Amino acid sequence: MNLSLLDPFAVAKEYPDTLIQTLAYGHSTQIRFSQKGDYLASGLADGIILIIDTDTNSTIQVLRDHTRAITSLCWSKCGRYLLSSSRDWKVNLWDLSSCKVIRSCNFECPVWCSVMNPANKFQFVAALVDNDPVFVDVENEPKITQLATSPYGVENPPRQSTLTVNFTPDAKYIFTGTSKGWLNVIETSTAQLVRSLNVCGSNIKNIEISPNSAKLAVNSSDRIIRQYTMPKLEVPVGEWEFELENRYQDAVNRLQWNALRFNHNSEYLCASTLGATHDVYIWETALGSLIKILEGSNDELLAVDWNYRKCWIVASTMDTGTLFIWSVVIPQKWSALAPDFEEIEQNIDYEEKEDEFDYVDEDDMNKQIEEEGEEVDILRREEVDARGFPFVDSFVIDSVPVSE
Amino acid sequence: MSKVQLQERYNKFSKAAKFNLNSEELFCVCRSVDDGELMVACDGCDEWFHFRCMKLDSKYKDLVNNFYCIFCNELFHKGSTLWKKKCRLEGCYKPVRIDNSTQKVSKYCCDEHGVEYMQNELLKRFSESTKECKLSEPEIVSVITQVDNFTEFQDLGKEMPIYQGMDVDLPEDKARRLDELNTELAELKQLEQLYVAKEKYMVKLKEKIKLINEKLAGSETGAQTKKSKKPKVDVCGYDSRLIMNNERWSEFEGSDEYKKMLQDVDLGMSDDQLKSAYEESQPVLGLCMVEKKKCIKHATWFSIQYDTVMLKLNEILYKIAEVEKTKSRLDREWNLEKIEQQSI
Amino acid sequence: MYKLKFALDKAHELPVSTGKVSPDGTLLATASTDKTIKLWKLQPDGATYWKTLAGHTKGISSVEFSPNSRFLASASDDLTIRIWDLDLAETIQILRGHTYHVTVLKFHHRGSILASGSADENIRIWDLRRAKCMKVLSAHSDPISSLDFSFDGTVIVSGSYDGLIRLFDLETGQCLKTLIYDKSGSSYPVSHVAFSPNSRYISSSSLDGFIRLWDYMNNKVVKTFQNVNGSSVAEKYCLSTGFVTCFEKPLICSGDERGKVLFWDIQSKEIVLQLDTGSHSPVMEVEPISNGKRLMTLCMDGQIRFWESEHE
Repeated sequence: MNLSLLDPFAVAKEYPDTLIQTLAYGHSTQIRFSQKGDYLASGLADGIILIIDTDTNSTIQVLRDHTRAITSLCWSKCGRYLLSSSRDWKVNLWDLSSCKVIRSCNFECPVWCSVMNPANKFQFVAALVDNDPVFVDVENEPKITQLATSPYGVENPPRQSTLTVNFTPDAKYIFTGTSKGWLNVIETSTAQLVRSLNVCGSNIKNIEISPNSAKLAVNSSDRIIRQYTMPKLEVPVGEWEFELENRYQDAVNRLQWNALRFNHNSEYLCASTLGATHDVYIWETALGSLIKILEGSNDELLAVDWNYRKCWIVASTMDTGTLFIWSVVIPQKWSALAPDFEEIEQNIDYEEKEDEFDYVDEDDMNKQIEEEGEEVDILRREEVDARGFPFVDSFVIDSVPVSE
Repeated sequence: MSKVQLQERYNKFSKAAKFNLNSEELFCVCRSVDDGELMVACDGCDEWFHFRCMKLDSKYKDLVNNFYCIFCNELFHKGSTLWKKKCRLEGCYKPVRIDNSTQKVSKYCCDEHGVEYMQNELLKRFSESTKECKLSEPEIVSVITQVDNFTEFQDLGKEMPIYQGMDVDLPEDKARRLDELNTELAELKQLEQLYVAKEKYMVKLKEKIKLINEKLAGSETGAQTKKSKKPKVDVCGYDSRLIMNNERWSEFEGSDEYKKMLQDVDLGMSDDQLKSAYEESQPVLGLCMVEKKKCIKHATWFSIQYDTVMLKLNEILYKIAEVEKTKSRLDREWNLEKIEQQSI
Repeated sequence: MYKLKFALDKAHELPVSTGKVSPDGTLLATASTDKTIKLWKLQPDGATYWKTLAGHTKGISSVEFSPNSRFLASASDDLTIRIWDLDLAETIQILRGHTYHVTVLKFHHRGSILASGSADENIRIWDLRRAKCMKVLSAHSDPISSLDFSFDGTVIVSGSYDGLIRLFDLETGQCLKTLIYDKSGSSYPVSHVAFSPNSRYISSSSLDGFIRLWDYMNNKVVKTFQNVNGSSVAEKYCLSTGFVTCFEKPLICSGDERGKVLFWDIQSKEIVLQLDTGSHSPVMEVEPISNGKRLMTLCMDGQIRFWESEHE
């Protein structure tokens, strides 16, 4: 509700520009905002997961079960469940109403990353060290399905392993990336490899699909992020077209990109850098031009996430695991403090209005009361906020006041 | 008063005549003769000043410790006036008594005033707040006369009284809560045992792996005695039983397999069998026989599993402590309730 | 439309200053100038005494349950706010910072934030996870009488004796808007403010005796509610208002200063129901429970009544 009362020009900004806060709550290795952006999960190097309330920026829950660095975090749509993977070989599903692990899967090898099925919180896909990726259903007894790594339709492909996995937003397909630069498409319902695309010759580190399913970005260790148009998922897989739109690289500094995120409507892409500079780069995706570099960190940046509703970008640093938060700063509107003040762009000659200093007597109030015929609806809520995001009631994680 | 004004006043004061026409000495800022009015000497300049002129109330005369006149204080910063601590009794302006030998500071000028103060205080409490003080006068008397000396009186209320009346049955809701807590505690204790056993098992496991390594190294050196350098053998040794869930682990604990693992020397197979298993990377006794350096996926498995066990164990111990705390709180509450019931 | 379910008189020996029903509907907390808070377990047909929370050194003017009904916040004239664990009946936090009587409290719907208003003219926002004051909103020039959060928790509305209604952004602490009802060049103290269920309107009571519904986006009063024959509802005391939405037409309700509770049809502004509490003192609190299916009233003479609606 606050947005509709703020300066519309400030609210209309689509990406953050100012460092507003740093949080040093342990050595963070992974961060992820809940769908609504009201909570931030921060996975630490020692396996602890912190749930941070983004209104107060204080930790409201501490989740302890992993004993090694957290490698990925994934929230359910409703905000009640969290999937975590760690180098201690485990993938855990947490229920945040009790803050306990409700399902756990041990893969007997470190887990690169795990992603929850957007359509079913009990299903996830995981990329494992030195093993093929797996699709797992933990609703009852864990049902583990091995997924293929060798590219589709290629004869005698070189030996490779899958390093990263992701779901399409509609949950129908799984995209995986291999150590030899192949992008594999797996159908969720059959767990069969249906399509492969050679992106480059080196490791694919991340596959990022925009929330609106319009764009796809592939980050690989050849220091290039390749941005494709997302194929229309309704058409048969064989007819899919991956059109390379943009290639993002920093030819001067030869930067490695660490993590990347699209904004909600895929108009912007941000990536954290590994190398000489310690910044987050933001590109405009239509033309591929660099529009903003978020500075302020004195350390290389690792994980990055974008909170669309609050217009925040958060990145964690490599050496200390401190979280850096960039946002838009909205100036105080001084006219808000006095209802009859008006802020004007330039000086204008003052002209007294006809009734400006007229004495308003009781009768006028009665007249005003008589004119109150307007229809009033106190029940129906606005559907979207001033940035266009729908108001949704999301899960509230219990927060216990600390004892002094 | 501003600094300049003060300086002017001081100039006037210091230049003023010291004696009047009758050769009588003049004192104070008012430059008048000593007519017996109360005066005080400044510890900075040794000049005498009237209490009145220094705007001091004469009733504080016994309380002055050090006095500095306005010039010494504000202009020359030689020091500021210090006061002695006042007797606590209202209306008494005598300084408090200080014991010469022990240097202990009293709150009163004399014993009489101490008694008077306390009397007043008690009277005040009784008269103004009968609602707050739930004890009646005879009750207070009975409490005071119950104790023998002052220390006993001070110790009243330090310890929770213990109910000593007839046995009263626990009300149903409390009994149910207690049952719940006891069940929880029993479950936790069982879990604790499980993880303690698991930790012991892991220590044994380490020995077992060492034994395997020694046997393998030994057999190999036996075959290749010519070579001066011993080929070092270091198998991964990962035991996949460690990640079994608690149910299956309990089953495993009861099996012969488990006992075999805890035995000290015997591997239950010949050296040749062991050697061929090593060469083919086939598990022995359920342990991964891949050379440690080549076994990427099980890297650092021992510390990972050991940390997991210790984390669980700590968590269980913490929970046990929490449950015990809740239990003792319920106990205390019930005890109090019974005493309150009894006193009614 | 409402029938009396049960009454609770003489909850405290000294006057009862405020009473609240927990969000889960199982508890009633009453606070008094006797410095204590009493908790009562609510049953369909009565309230039984449960326990007393003692610790404040001066009278208590406001209590608020946390959204999960496990904690209680209390505001006192001793300048502090206490957070109580209801199970343990112990104070777990003492929030210090206000420099004069704390008058009003409100919990954010997520339970991690508490807003407090004080006679020191400031509003403070507290982070309960750290027991720290996050922000001080100082824009009023007289004691704060009332606070409310919008349904999404991003906006705080405050009413003050300086006659202003201000809206603040929780995230930045900035004042977003100021509403003032200027009658003949002067404004009366605002005694109560509340967001409508959809947070598009704000109801305000002021000591000129009228309750107004503001369309705050357009800075205008859209409805004015008056007592019978256009007389005033309350001119001396801060009486709370509530929205009742369980009936066919949405209603707004408030007590008056002579022991009656008035219900207005929001659309027509007509009084559709008058409820006689049987007391002749001002009705300090009217709290609709589950949208108004039940109702709690608290009068200045300490009389507490629970009512139930007879039909939809």
